[in-house]
Amino acid sequence: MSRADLLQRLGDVIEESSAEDVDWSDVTEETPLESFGFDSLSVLDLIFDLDQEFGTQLAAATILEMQTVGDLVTCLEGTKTA
Amino acid sequence: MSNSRALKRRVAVTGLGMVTSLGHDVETNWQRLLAGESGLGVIRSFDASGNTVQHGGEVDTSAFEHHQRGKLRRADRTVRFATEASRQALLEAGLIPHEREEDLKSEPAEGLDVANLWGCGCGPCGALYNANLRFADKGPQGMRPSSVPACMANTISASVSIQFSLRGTNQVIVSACTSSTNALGQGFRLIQDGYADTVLCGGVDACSDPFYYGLWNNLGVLSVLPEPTTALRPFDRDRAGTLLGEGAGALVLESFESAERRGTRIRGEIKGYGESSDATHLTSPSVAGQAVAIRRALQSADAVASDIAYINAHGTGTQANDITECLSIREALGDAAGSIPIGASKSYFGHTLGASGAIESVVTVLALESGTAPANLNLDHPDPACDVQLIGNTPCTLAPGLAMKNSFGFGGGNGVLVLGRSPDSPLNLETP
Repeated sequence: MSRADLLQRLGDVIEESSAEDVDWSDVTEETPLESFGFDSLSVLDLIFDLDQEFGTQLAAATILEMQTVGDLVTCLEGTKTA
Repeated sequence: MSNSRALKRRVAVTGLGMVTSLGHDVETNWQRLLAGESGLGVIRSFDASGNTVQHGGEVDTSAFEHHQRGKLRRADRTVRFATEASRQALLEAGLIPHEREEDLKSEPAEGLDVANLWGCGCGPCGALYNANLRFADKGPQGMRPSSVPACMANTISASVSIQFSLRGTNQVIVSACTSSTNALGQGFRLIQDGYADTVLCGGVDACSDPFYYGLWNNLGVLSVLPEPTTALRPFDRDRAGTLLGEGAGALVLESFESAERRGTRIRGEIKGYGESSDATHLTSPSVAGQAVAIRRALQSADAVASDIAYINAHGTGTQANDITECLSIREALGDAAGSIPIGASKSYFGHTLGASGAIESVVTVLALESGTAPANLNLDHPDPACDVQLIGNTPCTLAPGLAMKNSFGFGGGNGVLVLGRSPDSPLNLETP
């Protein structure tokens, strides 16, 4: 799956789990993850939703260390089902 | 009683908020109440087919969507209604600045020393329904982590607390249709006894999903009359049951000292509160139990029956409630009951369950303030068994005096408030 496809699928996940209203058409790989307002609870939903969508099992600490949407896409690229 | 009350503080109402099927703000609701309009209709927000009754009072959330964003916009309807009613009430009370209407996240660093008590009969039904759907589909692996806080009943008060930085206690009282009258009563006591200066009290419910609505449908208490706007007929000879409504009401209660210090407009006063339990049956009301609550409310207000100039009844439109309530009023107030105008509000926006006490308390404050009580919508043929002075099909001019708000719930809980006009009201000259 291409990075563009991954980015598109990631949009559905983040729109659902983000604390903020997200217009994914404005999001690029350079968009900071912190702009979505994830906190200690909503990041658990994000992990859950990523697992449901991509079959990943990421640690909260791993996600919270990521800087940008592109970092997350790179991480998903490395998973088997993505 | 007089001596003990001398030590207690007076409790003002300084802010009102209201979201119902009749309107998304206090003024719209009030104007439509006075005009005798109905917010009831065919249910459209979910598929109600398969139910014997498919009518109710639904809230269109698009009217206040611009005040909500992010997770709040995706939250359960109870949370959204409660937040909107709170916003209106806090704004009117001058506790949040107008600019926060569009930027609710710019909270003051220190927050507000405001307690936050809500009544809700059924909890966040939509969140529970959706979580159950996911469980049925995928089992435990289908449950999102945030389902726990989303499904707990106190997600309502917690969300309001977080949204508006209210740092006093936040709690949800769950006592069916008495819930928010209980919340108002507890808030009244917190202020009266000096435990808080300001309490945001509210009520909310939204059984707007196929599961919870279906439960009510199968209980057999919903009106099967075919036209939704005339199907709910409190105290009418031809009444056939109630209809569910959804919504929220919110009132800012504040000590007179605090309101006067802040220079805030006082719209009314909570004068007394009484409560009781029937201790007899889960769903059948009791005259004895209700009458105790009415007497206790009068006693709490240091008032007598002849001081009451208006009763906003529980008035659900069911056979059992309406007759029992009239007998309870007669039992508790004696001969005075025959000359007190009694009105029910549920025929306008449905039975909003745990929200009804707060929503109808807002109506009661407005009735006292204006000196006019809304008509008894759909009361075409008063039931002779309801032997009280029912307001007719047109609004009623109220005499000086106090008002009473009754709420009676499944589980046998009874809650009654006594309300008064603002001290500044020109209609208030003869109010005790």
